[in-house]
Amino acid sequence: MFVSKLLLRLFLLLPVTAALAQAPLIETAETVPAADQWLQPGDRLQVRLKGQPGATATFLGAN
Amino acid sequence: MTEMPPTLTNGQLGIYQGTYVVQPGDTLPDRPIAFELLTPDSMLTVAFSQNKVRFLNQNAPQLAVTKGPLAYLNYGLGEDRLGGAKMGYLDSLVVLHITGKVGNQYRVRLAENQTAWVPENNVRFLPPGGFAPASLTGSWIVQGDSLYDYVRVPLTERLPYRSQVLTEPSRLVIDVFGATSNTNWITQRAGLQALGDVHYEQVQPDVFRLVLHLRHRQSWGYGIGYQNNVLTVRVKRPPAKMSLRGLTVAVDAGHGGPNTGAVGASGAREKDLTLAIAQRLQRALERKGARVLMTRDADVSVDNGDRILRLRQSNPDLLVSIHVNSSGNKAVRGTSTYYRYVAFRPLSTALYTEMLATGLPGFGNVGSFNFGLNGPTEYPNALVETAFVSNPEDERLLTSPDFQQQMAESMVRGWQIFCGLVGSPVCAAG
Repeated sequence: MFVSKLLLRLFLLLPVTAALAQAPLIETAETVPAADQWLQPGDRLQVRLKGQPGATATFLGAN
Repeated sequence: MTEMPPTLTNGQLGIYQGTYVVQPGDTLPDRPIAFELLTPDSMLTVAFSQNKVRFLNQNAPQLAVTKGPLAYLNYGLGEDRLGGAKMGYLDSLVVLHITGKVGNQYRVRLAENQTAWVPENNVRFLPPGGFAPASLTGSWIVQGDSLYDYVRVPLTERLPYRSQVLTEPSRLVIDVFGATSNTNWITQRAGLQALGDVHYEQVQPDVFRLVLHLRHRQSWGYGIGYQNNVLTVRVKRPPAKMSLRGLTVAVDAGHGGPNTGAVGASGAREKDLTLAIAQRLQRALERKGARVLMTRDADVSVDNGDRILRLRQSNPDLLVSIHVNSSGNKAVRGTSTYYRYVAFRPLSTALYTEMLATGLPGFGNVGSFNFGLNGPTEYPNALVETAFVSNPEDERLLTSPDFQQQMAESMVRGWQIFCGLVGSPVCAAG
């Protein structure tokens, strides 16, 4: 009985999981340039993210 | 972060960009950048950049020294088949203040508002605790020996420098970064032949500029390095006799071995063509009494860095590097010559003029060319891209033994014209 309930739940989740697999919320997240960097005060850290439109994206814990 | 309007992203939706200006006191020890994306329906996702970022502590300067015989500085992070645009070579053990890194290049603080970049494999880091490089300059000694004129400037450490020969009037200008004048006299001793007036300018508080006027309109090269911590400039003199006889001429056949270079439609290979022309040039020069140094005289691979080192050691009077051009457009044809420094433009121009006399159309005389063998300052040098192997008519000419001979003789005449520019009358033909 327990196993069949679990299977049912997994079955119900499948479409959602499949949709997420097709379109991850974040596709890419990178520094610009995409290279290891050492920066000092006054330097600019530039970043780019590709993801779901219409969302709020943050990095380093800030907007 | 800001979601970019599709007009700025080629129509792509969901592109977010952000900038953070690093603040004093910020710390970040070599780690990936964390990103968060929160959707309107409150789904939160976290991702990390593949690359790592470090925020440097300005209170603990990162110092490194140059290593190897071919360390160099780049102006920026540009990259193409010729490498990044080079500011110039540096001697070994020159102390560099590293203030950043992108990929495999470190940013170097040369002076206030002046930076350069150095490839990571050109430097070795010093233990922490050192001070940013700086020095007062001592008083100079300027003198000549049997071979060269020398300028010696004592410093307390090996500082980075940049040099160029400017024309009309001909003068060698060297900026030493981190140096401030305490030069209270310039002693000029006997034996000077190439140097005229020598003086300095303090162009900004931490940039000391040597201005070395040359007595001859044509520079025959110079080298800069350190003897202990004494900046030593070695200025070459014009050949005693303006004749190919007795001159040491270096001839560089491009490519070789597994490095085939360009290949024409009929199968002609650049490495074979350059060697054939170079060997004809060698024979033509030797007939006129020149001593010829070949960077290769067989179908072997020689790294360009090794060619430069060998040439520096053998110290030729002149160099020509021979290559064969190629284009994706088969209609493009013609001959071209290349130089890096304006001081050596007369050699390139003379070679170009004579190559045009073969009947090949002109593809141009190209300056500021960032080719490795155009990099040395120690001797006048030029690159001849003889013709386009990708063009059927040029390929036919390049493979013709008669035309190879004609090109070789044109280059000899180019050298003679060049000699004529610096001595009168035109360089004697043997």
